[in-house]
Amino acid sequence: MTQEPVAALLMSLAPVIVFLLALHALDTYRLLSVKRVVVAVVIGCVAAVVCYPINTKGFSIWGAGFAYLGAPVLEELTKAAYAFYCIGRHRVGFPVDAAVTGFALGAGFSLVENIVYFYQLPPSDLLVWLVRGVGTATMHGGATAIVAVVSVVLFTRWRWLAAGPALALGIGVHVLYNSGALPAMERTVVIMATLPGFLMLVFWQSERMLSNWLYSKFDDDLRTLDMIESGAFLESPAGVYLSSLRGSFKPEIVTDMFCLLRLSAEASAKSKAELVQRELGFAPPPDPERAELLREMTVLEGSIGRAGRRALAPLLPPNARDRWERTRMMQS
Amino acid sequence: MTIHKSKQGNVATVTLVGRMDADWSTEFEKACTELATGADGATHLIVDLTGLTYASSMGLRAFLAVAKARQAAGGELILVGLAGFVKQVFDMTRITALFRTAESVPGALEALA
Repeated sequence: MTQEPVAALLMSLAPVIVFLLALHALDTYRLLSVKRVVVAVVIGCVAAVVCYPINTKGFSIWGAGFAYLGAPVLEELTKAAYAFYCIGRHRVGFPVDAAVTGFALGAGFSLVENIVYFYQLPPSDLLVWLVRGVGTATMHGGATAIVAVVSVVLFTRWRWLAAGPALALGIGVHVLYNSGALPAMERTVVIMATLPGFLMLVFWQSERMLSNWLYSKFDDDLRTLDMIESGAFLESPAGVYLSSLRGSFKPEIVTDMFCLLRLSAEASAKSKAELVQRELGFAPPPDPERAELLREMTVLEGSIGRAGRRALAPLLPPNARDRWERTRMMQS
Repeated sequence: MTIHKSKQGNVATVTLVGRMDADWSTEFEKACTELATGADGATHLIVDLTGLTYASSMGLRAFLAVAKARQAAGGELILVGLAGFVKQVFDMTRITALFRTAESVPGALEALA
């Protein structure tokens, strides 16, 4: 590699890195740590390494036509695998963290792919390397971010079926980019003019969604705690419902249900207060009671059993965001 | 809910009585901003919570936002009379650690002197 292509490689990655840093900086609630962003970039690199021999084999069998459909399908699937894992394990719960994770995966992937191009393609001038690098990196980052965002939005209702339309969109962007419908320069201009803007729009919309969820749920938690502390809970609709379970469950189980309800509200309020502190630029102090609180909740969930949890579902509905929140608490 | 404001030199006191919901959180922030605005605006704020019985999520956010603004202006927000459910929420969410607290308004004034 001569000095010029090295400079072009670095320059081509610069806008992608800047955009990734911008996304991370705009993440008001600091949903993703720098470490997790770096992990996603590294996994993106690994995905590219995994795809390389398969792509090579594909090209040798199907020729250049493989680049138009085979490679986009393979690459989007491989890049998105980690995003799906994060969503399935409730490590990613909102379009904000999904977009950052997806873009980081794509950035990592394009880093390796661009290096491969530098070695394999005939030498060109700096501008050609730059245009190729910027376009590829933005397309990879943007396409995987779209897959991750669409998946996390649809996951709550569709579960794993969400991966279908999400992948279709990501692959669509990739296929369009690889189709050669536009010359390289125009293709890069189009991708740079559309994808980052679209992602920013999604990002801001998602931040608003997160903020609405955060404050509305936080208020629910505080109201529940206030009612429990003031003794008004048993007269509330939730309290009346809980009391009605005495007919179906042993008294000690109903007591455990009540304790679980209280601890869930407390854990949820703690977690949300932490996000509010981050939003306002405070570094939340570590909470030594958190581990014990989560352990106690696990014990109570075991004690009330599956039937008890099902009966408690109207008061503690199992949903992806609450599970995401609990995973966050367990990991931090 | 009622908000009572007073100012002595560069220290302003805000007394909150009742339940602080989202609307009153905005009013509280507005009151604090007014007290701190202008050439003779207060640098330090003392917020008397003795009569506050409930704070919503936006209420907690308002306390943090006001504290942040005071910090940025080289001042401080001191909470007075933190008790009952409000104290419980502040302690539980570990927000108390971000503020200096005092038993009474004279105690807070002494702490600022």
